[in-house]
Amino acid sequence: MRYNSYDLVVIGTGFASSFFLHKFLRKAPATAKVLVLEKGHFFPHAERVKEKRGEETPYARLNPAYKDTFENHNPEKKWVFTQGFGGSSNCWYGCTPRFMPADFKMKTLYGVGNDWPLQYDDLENYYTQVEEIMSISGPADTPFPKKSGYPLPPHLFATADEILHKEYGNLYISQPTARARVAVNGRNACCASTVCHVCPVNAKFTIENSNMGVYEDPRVELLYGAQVHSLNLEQNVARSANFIKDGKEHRVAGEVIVLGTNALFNANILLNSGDSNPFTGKGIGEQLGLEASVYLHNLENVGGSTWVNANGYMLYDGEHRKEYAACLMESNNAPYYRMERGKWRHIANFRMVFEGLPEAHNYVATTSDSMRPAVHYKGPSEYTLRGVEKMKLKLPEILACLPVEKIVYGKPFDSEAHILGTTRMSANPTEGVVDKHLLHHQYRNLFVLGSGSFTTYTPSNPTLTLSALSLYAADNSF
Amino acid sequence: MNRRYFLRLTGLSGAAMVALPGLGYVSATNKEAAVGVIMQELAYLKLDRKGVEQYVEDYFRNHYINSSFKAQLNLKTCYYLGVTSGNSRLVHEIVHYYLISTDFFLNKMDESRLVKYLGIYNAYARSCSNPFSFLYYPPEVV
Repeated sequence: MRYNSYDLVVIGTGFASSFFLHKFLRKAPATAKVLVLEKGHFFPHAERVKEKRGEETPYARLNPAYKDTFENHNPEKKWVFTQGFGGSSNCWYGCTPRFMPADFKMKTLYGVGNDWPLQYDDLENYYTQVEEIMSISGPADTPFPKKSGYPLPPHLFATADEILHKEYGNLYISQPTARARVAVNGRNACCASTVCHVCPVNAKFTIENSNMGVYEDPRVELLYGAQVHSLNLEQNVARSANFIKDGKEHRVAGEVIVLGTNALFNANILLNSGDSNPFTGKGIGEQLGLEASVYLHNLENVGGSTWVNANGYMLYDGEHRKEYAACLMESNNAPYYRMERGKWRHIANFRMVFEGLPEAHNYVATTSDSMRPAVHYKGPSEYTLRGVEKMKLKLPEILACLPVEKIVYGKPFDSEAHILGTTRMSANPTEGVVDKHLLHHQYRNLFVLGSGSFTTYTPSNPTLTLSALSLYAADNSF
Repeated sequence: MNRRYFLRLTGLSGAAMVALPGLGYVSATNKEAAVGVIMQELAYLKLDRKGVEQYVEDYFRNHYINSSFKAQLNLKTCYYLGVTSGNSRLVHEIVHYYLISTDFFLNKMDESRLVKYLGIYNAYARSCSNPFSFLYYPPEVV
């Protein structure tokens, strides 16, 4: 560490921190001093692929297994993420749909949850910027408003997707995705290997392959193995961050401090620091997903060009959200098949993803180990579960354009690998932790980034939106 | 396989394991049983037996079945009684994984061609090998 005090201290190197830094560095003076504290270490993509092939790599031992970093009080529920440089960009699947405008005003439109303190139009320009940086592949026509086209062409549909798109138009689209349709910016084209957590051909956007130039910027000092456990909060100001590195306790002061870890650890650090906002740590949640296997009569479902070929919005937005959860369909292109002679690929698998709601009985708490938060989660909301039941009633009609033999539903997945809530965004401090610029309502030099800030839990994948929020926050605060 | 079905199979298996050698049958090894369930289930395909045996060698490496007497009993029961993948999760797993590890789907499910084992299906060992993707079904063909 070169200095004892920095203009900006950023904690974490995932999407939220990296996009925030990207915007900040464009606006900051050449003399700006920035320190980034990363708990883990750099585990290069090429080494991750080696590990997946069963080859030895010393990098594999650098970062702890994510499961060992927190106490899970509900073993039936998993919370999935990746430790180390780039955070969960190293395990995400690259799905980047925008939210729908209605997702930001659930209370006004449907009397559910709360309204976000910013709206879709506020983010539109930042969505576009993230899509450019990530080189998103996507279609021309989308169910959400969009002022410009996607940078890369859309992925190809499989047979069943073609039929559904013909039936539903822009409610059934090629999924906008960070799995590149064509080679771009040092990445290869996606070839539907469908093991996207570590892409075998490096087609997926990650912080490592982003070419954003953030961590190469001479103003930025990146410290690995620096485990932040608390901040010094005094007189409504975040003064400094406390961390352990190489077994020793350290402290570093910052004019501005940015929490950019995930929703578990952002909340844990705030709680360790004495943050008394009643919403800090509360409401942890995510979407609920389950698989619908659709057996098709004499229709071979082949030809998609990526992992999730398409998104279906037929069960997403509308008045029904007053009563039950929205559902986003994902058309899956894994090499699944039927074990029936002559009917091998007469099947289509869809992941049905339902929105969640923040509930106070689901929360993050501190433990005797300041590095290890505890997660208490009772289960999905009634609102979500009603959405699942309604979907099962409606899906046969929605799929009537396909020659459906039968639909078989799987059990809900134990995770969608998204961690939402714990530092929710609100118009005022009586309803949440951060404002629309992701600034803590009480500590006005403290940003708390990421999907922990989400006010409500739309079924859409969170990464594009949390990255756009980081750009928005930095652009409107400096 | 539901519990009741499994118990019935296990009972039958126990009886079979005692009775069949007495009747002159030689008890199959686990690997022979695995080869057998594949050959039985896919009898209508032209399978390369050596490839099937190699697949079973590869498949059993680090598989829990090596240390699970229950799973071994289950497998042999299925083999001797001709249980198919529709009634056994274990048989389904073995046969399903075998077929995706061959060139059968790459050859567009052509039953007239010899089915050759290519190595355990692993997207990291053979990227871009999803046999149902656009690489094998380009848009003009779909």
